[in-house]
Amino acid sequence: MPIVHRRGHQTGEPIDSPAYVDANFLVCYAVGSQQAPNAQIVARNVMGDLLAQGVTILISLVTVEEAWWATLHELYCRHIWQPPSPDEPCPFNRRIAKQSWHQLMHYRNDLKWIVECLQELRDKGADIRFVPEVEKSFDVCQNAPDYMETHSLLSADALHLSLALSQATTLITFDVHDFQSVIDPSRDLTILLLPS
Amino acid sequence: MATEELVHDRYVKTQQAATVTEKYRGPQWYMGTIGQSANDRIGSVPTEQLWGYLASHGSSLGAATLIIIEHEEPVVQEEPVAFQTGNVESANFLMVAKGRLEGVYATLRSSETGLTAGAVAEELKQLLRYRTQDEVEVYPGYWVSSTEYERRFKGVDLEHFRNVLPFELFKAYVRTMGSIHGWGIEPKHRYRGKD
Repeated sequence: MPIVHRRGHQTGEPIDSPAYVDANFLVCYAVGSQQAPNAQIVARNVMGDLLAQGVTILISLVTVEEAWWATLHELYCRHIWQPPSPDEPCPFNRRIAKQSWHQLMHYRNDLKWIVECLQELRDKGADIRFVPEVEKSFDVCQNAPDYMETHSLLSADALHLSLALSQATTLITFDVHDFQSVIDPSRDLTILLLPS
Repeated sequence: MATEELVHDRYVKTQQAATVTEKYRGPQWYMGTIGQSANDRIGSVPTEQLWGYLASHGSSLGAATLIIIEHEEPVVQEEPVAFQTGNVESANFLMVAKGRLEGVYATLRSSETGLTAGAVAEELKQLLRYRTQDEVEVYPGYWVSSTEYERRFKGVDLEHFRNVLPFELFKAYVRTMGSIHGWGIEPKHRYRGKD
C-alpha cells in the first residue's frame, strides 16, 4: 500500500494503528482554536475514536515543541492581544513572543498540562507513546532532510513525516497544505487530513 | 505584605470557618472576592467568567484582593494556594469546601470591616446574584457551566463515546479535552490522578 491521503473523518470510522499525531491535532484537542472552531470539534471526535478503537497514539518531542508554540500563540491571542478592530487577525511571531515573554510565561503550567493530559489518558488505559526510540532517532533525522527536498516540507513537518514513516501506519494532521503533496508509492502510510 | 503572608494571614483567620484546600478542579467552582475597596469586589460568577474577568481586569487587582473559590469536591489538603493566572500576579486564591463559601466570607468580611452579620449576609447575597443555575453534568459528579460546556464539548459526540469507552477513560477524555484555558495553574493543582 503506498502513501494514501484520506480527507475528513466520520465518527466511528476505523483508523489504522499506530497513529502519529501532529501538534495542531493535539492543540485543537486540549486547548482549542478561536480562529478554527471546527478544527477543535474534529480533533476531539477523532481523539474519541482513537481511544475507543484502542489505536496506539504516537507523539514526539517535535509534536510537543510545536504544540507549545501553538498554545502560546492561542493564549496570546485570547488573553494578551488587544485587537485594534474586531475582525483584525491576531499576529504572532518570535518578535511578538519575545516582547510579551513575561506575560506568556504565566502560561508555562499550561504548557506542562498538554503533556499531563496525555499522561492522564494513558493512566486510564489509552496507549500513548513517545517516538522515536533512541536507536531509531538517527535514521529518522537522516531521512528528514531528504523529505524536506523531495516533498518541499519545512524541517518540523519533515521530521513528522519521517517519524510517521518510521513507526506509524497513520499520520493524523490538518489539511493545511503541508502534507498534501507527499506521494511515495514505495512507502506505506495513510495521511489522514482533517478539515480545519 | 507579601502574597504568601497575606494568604497565610487570611488563612489563619478562616481556620475556624472553613477547611481550605489547594486542590483545584476548575470550572465547577464559584467565587467571591474581598478587597480593600469596592473596585476589588467582582462578585460571584462561574469560574469561566471569572477567568475572563481576571484576564481583562487582572492588572487592576492588588495584592490585597482575595478570591475565594468554592470547591465541589471533598477536601484533600488543608493548605491555601496562590498562583498566577492571565494578567493576575498577586491575587490570592482561597479554596474552600463546598457549602463553606458563605461562612468564610462572613468571617473575613466582618473581621475586616466590623459589619454586622446581617449586613455581611446581605452583601454576600448581592455578590452571589450572578451565580448561575444552568450547569450541565457531563458525567456523575462532573459539572460545568453551560458556557464551559459549549466551549469544550459542542459538536463532540459525547453520548457515543460514553457508550464505547471504558468509564474511567471516558472521564479522562472529558476532563482533558479543551481543559487548557490559560489559567496558569500548576498540574499538581489540577485533577490528575483524582476523581
